[in-house]
Amino acid sequence: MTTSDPLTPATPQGGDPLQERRWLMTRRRLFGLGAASMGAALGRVGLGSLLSGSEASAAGAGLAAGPTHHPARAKRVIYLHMEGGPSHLDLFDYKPQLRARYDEDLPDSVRQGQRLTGMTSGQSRFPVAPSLFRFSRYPNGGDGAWISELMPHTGGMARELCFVRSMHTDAINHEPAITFFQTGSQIPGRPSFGAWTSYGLGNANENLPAFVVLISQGFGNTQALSERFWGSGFLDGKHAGCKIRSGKDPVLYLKDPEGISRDDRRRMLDLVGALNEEEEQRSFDPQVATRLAQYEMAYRMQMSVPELVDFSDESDATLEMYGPRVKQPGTFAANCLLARRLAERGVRFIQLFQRGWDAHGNLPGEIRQQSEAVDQPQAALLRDLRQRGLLDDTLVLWGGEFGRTVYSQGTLSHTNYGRDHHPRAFTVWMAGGGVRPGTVHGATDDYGYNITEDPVSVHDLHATLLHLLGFDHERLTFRLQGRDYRLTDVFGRVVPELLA
Amino acid sequence: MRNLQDIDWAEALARLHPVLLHLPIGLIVALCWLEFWGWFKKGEDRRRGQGALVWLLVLSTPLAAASGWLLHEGGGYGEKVEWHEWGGISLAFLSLAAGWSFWRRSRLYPWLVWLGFVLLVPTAHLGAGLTHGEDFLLEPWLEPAEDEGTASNVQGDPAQLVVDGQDSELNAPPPLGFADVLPILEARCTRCHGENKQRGDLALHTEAGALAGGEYEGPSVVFGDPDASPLITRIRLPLDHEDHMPPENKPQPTALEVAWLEAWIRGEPAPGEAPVFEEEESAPASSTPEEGEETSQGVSAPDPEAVAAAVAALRERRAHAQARSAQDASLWIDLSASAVEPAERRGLLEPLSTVIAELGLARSALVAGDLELCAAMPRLERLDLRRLELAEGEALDLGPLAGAPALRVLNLAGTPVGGDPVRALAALPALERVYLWGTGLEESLAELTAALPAVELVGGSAAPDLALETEPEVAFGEPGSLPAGPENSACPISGQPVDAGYTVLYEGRAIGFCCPNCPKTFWEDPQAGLAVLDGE
Repeated sequence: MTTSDPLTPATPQGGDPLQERRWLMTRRRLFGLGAASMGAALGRVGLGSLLSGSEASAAGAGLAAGPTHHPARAKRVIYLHMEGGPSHLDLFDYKPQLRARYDEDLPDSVRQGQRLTGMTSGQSRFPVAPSLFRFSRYPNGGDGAWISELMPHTGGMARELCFVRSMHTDAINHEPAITFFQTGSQIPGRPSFGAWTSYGLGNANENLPAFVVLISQGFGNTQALSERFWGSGFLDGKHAGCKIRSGKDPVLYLKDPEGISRDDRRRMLDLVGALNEEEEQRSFDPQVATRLAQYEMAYRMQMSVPELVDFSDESDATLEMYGPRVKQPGTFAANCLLARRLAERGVRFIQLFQRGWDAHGNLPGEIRQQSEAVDQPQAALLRDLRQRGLLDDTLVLWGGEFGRTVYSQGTLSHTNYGRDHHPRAFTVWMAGGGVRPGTVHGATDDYGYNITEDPVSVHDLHATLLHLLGFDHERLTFRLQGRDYRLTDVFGRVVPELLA
Repeated sequence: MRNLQDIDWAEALARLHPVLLHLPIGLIVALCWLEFWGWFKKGEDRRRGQGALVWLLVLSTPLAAASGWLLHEGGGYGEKVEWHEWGGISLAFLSLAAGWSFWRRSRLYPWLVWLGFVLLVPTAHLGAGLTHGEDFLLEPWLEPAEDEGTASNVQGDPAQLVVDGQDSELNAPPPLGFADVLPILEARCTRCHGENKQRGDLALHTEAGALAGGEYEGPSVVFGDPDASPLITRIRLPLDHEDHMPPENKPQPTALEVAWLEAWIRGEPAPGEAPVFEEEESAPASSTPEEGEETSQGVSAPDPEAVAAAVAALRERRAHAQARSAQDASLWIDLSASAVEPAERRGLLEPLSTVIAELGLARSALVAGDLELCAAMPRLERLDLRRLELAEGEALDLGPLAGAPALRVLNLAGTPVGGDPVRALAALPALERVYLWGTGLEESLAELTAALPAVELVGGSAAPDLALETEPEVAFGEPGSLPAGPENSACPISGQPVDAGYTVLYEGRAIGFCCPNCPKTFWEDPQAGLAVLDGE
């Protein structure tokens, strides 16, 4: 709902019956919306309903939400999204037997006529490209986990990690596939996972947004990142992800303009607040309260954000752990450290995007650089969370929007190959926050092409993560146009094998 | 108007109750009157007229009872409605019985009608009491309440306020003034209707403001008549009524406080002891009498209103307060990003001490008594004392935390710890895990582990593990191991010429097809395809 909505006059007009009728209709609609958005959908009982009552009246003055459906294992999520689709075959899905099949054609019994992207559907051959990276077995409390030489630090954390080798997705191209992972639907317009989390959990720190997005540029082929990947869809705008940038202004338009002091700002906000409060009492429009709360949040962020992005209080040992690039703002390493600082401060959903995994050609060169950029920082992030006692209730998720094909896109040689998008099987991993550590779940066939054991869909993953956050994914809903929308749409199954 | 499908029919019927109920009343009286009439005018045929009325009775009484039942289901009525409800339901059955006996020409009929009349009187009286108030009928007959004088010993029920017979006008204490009730108004009302904020144009921090009232109802206080003073009538409304004040989620005045306000409006002296408030700002609810009882009892179900008030006070200071789940009435409170001052922390947390299960105090400064308060929390499972603000060279002494009965996880990361940590930690019976990184204790982790074998001590995060084994040099199969081209010239499925682009490797043989569809047929039964090839 926007203020330009023709059905929403700025103020109720007395005297004009037509205008009044329009106003009444608007107000009724607002009541409907308000009731739906203010936690009614969460089905609270007992002490919970009592607490959520104050939320409804505060209408955004506090973001704090009511209780979850069941006790939460994770209080927050750090989602390391590897944008572009990293090759599971060169990182986590060990297929030694493929080496003997170098340059053989991918058998049709494996592909079974499944669709390909337009980038390789015209290829006359689909030559098998085994990984040219060596794999090592790392201790994980069980049989061990085979991980490629590209990720030695991450491999060394295998005791904490839960690999899902049997992920599959419905989309085969970046835009719909990222949209699917982020929102549970390939079609744009739904709220993102982070927005759902903010909607369900509220914020634990009212000086920072509940959902923060950090982006780092990659070394390989890069795809577009739309702002709507972290949008709030039809949820209240306050649930949208807030991008924190690496430049002079971490959050755009947050600073006071030249010549305006913080006191001036305060006085201005007080006056605008008084006017808005008057308007709220007259119109009962919850959006006014939201707007008011957001102004105040921005005012507080003027203090909290500079402190957040200032690493000067980090010890040398900590900085060293994240690797040399941590001092370079905007790198994945710096964003990992920032993610830990955000987690410490109670931010609910911290989403990192590392771009550049889309290796259609020159995969070995690109993936080397990409892995080098993420391996040490992400392992350091896990270690740092662990030693600060935060890994218990922080869920870390690592994954791209799909995997990559076993056959080479373009020319295959002993030193170079490319891989196309592969939605049918790929690997993600999780850690902390109630995830079963030291686990390898699911398996693929000898070609890493089809899933042979325990397939996990994107909806299943979402359902499992929501479960860890304390929600029944079928009951975390938002009513819109007569339908209760969910992150998992009408699908999804909690995967018990992934839970600690 | 709503659309037909949007209408709540049950509620619509329920709202008809006050209309419907008058039909049976009139009918029962009329039927009784007809019986009575019959004693004097014997032989007159009354039956036809009676029949029509009995019909109406049989139809209307169950309808009236059903609508009344629905109205009660809708809520908003106290316990007094129960007797009225049973009376109404009994009347419905009695009416049906009367109707049955009428058509059977049973001799029971007149008795049932008389019985109906007998039942009708108390039922109707109870119902009228619900809508018009108790003693509506009797009021003109009784002495005016105001003249009854002092109520010296009022506990709770405002209705009893003025019915104390100990009349002593001679030594009557002075009537209450505005200043006497101001603390009540300040505790319950003036946050929204006061000096700083005047919701609905109402300001209750001055007597003039209370008399002037707000934009909706005129004067809030009509001296001499609490029943006409919105200040009182709004408090008396059911809690879930939309006009009820203070709002449902805000601390509510106690019965004693309401009695004081009423006494003030009537110009009466104080009814009993003055309500006690602690400092104005710190959670008025913490001083309610119920609360006092609970703390003395230790663990018991907390008063939900006191909890709500304390949570509201915390949230006002931007603290995080959340019920841990819908089933479990315990709280996660995090003050680390809040505007709660260390000095006011105790006052804010104390009302919640029996329901806090997780408490976050990271990055804040502790003051004396904070750890004692934590130790006394019976359900506290997780305590976060990360990176506390300590003076240079100061270290946290965990001694006062001893005995915290449910504490499982203690996070001390980044906070220097001094004193006798072994003893302090050993005095925590439920302790499972402690984070000691950055406390200065991680150096002596081995000794601590020996002293506390049951506790997992996390001193830091070890460097990533080394690999257990690594595969030998990567060696690929020989390129070109694939046969140079398809061995056949005709497609084994269609017999058409082979297109080398559609070659499939099977058992070391390269088999060519004419199109992308034929391999699918081939895979369905490879042996059949091979037979065709080998027969070629």
